[in-house]
Amino acid sequence: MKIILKIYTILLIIGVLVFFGWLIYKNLAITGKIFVVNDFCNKSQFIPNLYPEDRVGTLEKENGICFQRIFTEPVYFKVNASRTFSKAKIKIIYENEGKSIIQLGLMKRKITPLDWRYDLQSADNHISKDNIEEQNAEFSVGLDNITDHSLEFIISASGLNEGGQEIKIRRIEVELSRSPENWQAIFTDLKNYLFRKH
Amino acid sequence: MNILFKKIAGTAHYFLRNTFIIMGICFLLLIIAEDLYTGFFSFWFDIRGLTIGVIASGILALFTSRFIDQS
Repeated sequence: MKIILKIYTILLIIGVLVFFGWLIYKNLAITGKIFVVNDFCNKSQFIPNLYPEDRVGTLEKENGICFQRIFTEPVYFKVNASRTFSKAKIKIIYENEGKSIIQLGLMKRKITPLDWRYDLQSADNHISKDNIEEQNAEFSVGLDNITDHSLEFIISASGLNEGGQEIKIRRIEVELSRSPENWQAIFTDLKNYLFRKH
Repeated sequence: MNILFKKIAGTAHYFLRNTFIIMGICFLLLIIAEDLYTGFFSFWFDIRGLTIGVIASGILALFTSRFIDQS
């Protein structure tokens, strides 16, 4: 019995060590990529809902489809990133009855509270199927874009404020990428992550 | 039946106790790591499962301690 108990204890300890190793592996993004989604049905830890609250609605569900309405533009969303990345690919899927021109942008780190610098992309990468539209954008990301371990994106919708229309955001997909982990430099990277937090 | 139950519960106590200690340490390390680093660890899993596991194993270990064979 004592041997079984010992084996069980050792397995538990190994399990805990593997668990922590897995968490560090995920946070370090060893493969160089992290793909995160907010489908507005389940709470996303990586992409919290749109804000500010006075410009957007609460989460809604119609015919099994979840969404968040935008009444006034611009609105913002954050993407929590466990470390620094060099690129961010964004895809948003939305209903756009008023046919407002949607543009996506990446905010720069705020130096003062009224610092609203951002890199807005053109609305070229736009796909429309029936009433559902999809907007894609790709940004170069640097330390200058990260505030408290998160990237902040802006959704601009020209013409939305005029006609009393609204946009229903159904899904936000974000792919963050950096160069894959070099196994020879893994300890340097691990040290950077643990002590310098990037 | 009663004796068999007592024997099983008494044996289970040691397993539950070890589970509580190791999972409890894991939980504390996780909380410390969350504060020390980026707070991203619990983004990858549901921490409620671990919390319930620690509390349940602690309560069951305490409950089964009365069935330990003292002889």
